[in-house]
Amino acid sequence: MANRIDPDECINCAACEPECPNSAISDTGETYVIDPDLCDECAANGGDSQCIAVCPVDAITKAA
Amino acid sequence: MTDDGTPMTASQLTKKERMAILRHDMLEQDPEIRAHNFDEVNLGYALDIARQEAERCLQCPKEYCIEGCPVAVNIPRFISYLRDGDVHAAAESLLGDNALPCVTGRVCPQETQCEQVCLRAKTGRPVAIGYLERFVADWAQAHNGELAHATPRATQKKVAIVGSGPAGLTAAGELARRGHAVTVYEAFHAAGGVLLYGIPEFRLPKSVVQREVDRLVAAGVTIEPNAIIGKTYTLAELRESFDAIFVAVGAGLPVFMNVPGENLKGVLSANEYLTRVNLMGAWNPDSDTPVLHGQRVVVVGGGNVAMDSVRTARRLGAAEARICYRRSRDELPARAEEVHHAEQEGVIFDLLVAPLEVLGDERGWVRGLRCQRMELGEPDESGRRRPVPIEGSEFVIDCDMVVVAIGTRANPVLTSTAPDLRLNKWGYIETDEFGLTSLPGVFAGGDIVRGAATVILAMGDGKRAAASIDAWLTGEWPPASDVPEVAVASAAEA
Repeated sequence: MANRIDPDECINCAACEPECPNSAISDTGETYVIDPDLCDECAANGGDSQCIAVCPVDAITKAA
Repeated sequence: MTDDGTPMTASQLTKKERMAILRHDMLEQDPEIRAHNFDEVNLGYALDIARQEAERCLQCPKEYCIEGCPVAVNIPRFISYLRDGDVHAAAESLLGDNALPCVTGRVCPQETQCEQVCLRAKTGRPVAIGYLERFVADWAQAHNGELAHATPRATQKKVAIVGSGPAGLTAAGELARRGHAVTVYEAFHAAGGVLLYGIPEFRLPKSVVQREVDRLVAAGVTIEPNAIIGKTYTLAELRESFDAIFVAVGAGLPVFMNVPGENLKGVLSANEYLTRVNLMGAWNPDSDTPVLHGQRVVVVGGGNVAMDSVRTARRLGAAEARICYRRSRDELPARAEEVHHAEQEGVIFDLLVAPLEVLGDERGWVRGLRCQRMELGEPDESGRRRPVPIEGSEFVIDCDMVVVAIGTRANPVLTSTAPDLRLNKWGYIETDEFGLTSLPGVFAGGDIVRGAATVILAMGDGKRAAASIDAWLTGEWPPASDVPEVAVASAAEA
């Protein structure tokens, strides 16, 4: 289970990166991406993902 | 319906559509024309442009811009009302957060505050928060009669405020709103402090300041001009008549260069120059108190006061107006817009140049400024790279006037007559985290506490002090503060 950033929606604003407790988010230059091996959808936070909470363009979704 | 007759509709754009809108530039007077008049440079947004600019705001879930604001204006909220076409609601929202929005919309260094942390700045240009604030604030001034004015229950408590600059006026508004009887003492003949004597007409029209003062007077604030606390009355005398006092006298004592020739005729402090032009009307050729009109003027310094001085000299007819600054362009403390405007108006920048001596003619008038070129070395305690003299690089700038704008310090008029008021070693008033001084019931804020800084930082102090004073007067001490400490860098001294 991991969150995913839609590259077509991401505006590369960097808001999510510092919020991630697992340092799973990085910058590819064009957009930000979530490393699925590191992302646990903020399980320790009851699944309230920090990145989704701050994304200004709703580009991040939980894996289906 | 909205005020321009268009329907009031909730904004429907997608985030992608918002991202595609480019920032709207401010309309300005043509540089060739404005370099010869004192009318305001920035002409403001029209309503349709303001609404389009408001559409650029993403209404981020995390409100970085509010965190970047020294007085914590709820920026997304007023922008949201504006983009829906409800300027009235936008105005009431803004005025609830900020006592002087017409002022801050014009003079705040937005690029190091709210607009610096706007997420859109990461990939493009930030939302023009300052221009939008100015638009809404100007609308509020023009439609003052239509806005709700709460009449608070009088508390029978009396507060004296010493100084009518941005800190004093902000505190006055906040305290009056809480029902306290506020009297503001001002040494000059008119209220406004640095907004009046310091910042020139072309950047902040005096009529705008006057209307903000009028609004406070309408809200019950009493202004006592021509009253110098420390001369007309002492602080001790005020304490006998008031339940609490807020000292916000600013840092108005000019700093000089301490180089030979500084007493020649034609050398002025920026304080004197700007006060004579702005407050005493020397910009008007018929003024009873004229000022020297230099033809070749050198202003020493790189802050907003230096930019104001050099642009004033240009408007008073200087064929050549120069900035002499010892560091490089990147270190200029002035707002980016002021530097840009000065360049547009033909101001010449002598960067990495430090003055060594003012040269005079046989009659004691300035004829030149002997200077030395500098290079940047290691960063100093301010974090800026230290200027280091280049050996053998001395040269002379021919000029007939030198304006010294290298900063100000605490004015001792009030503090020297208040022996129990604790000061630090530079003469600034010491306060605790709530703005309380060593004297019970006497609070202080603005430049007389923090040293020369910006209008908005002084206003933040005024807002915090008002909350503290209210808690003091109502016996709920210590207060619970909801105004955050400032977390962003401030370089400019607006």
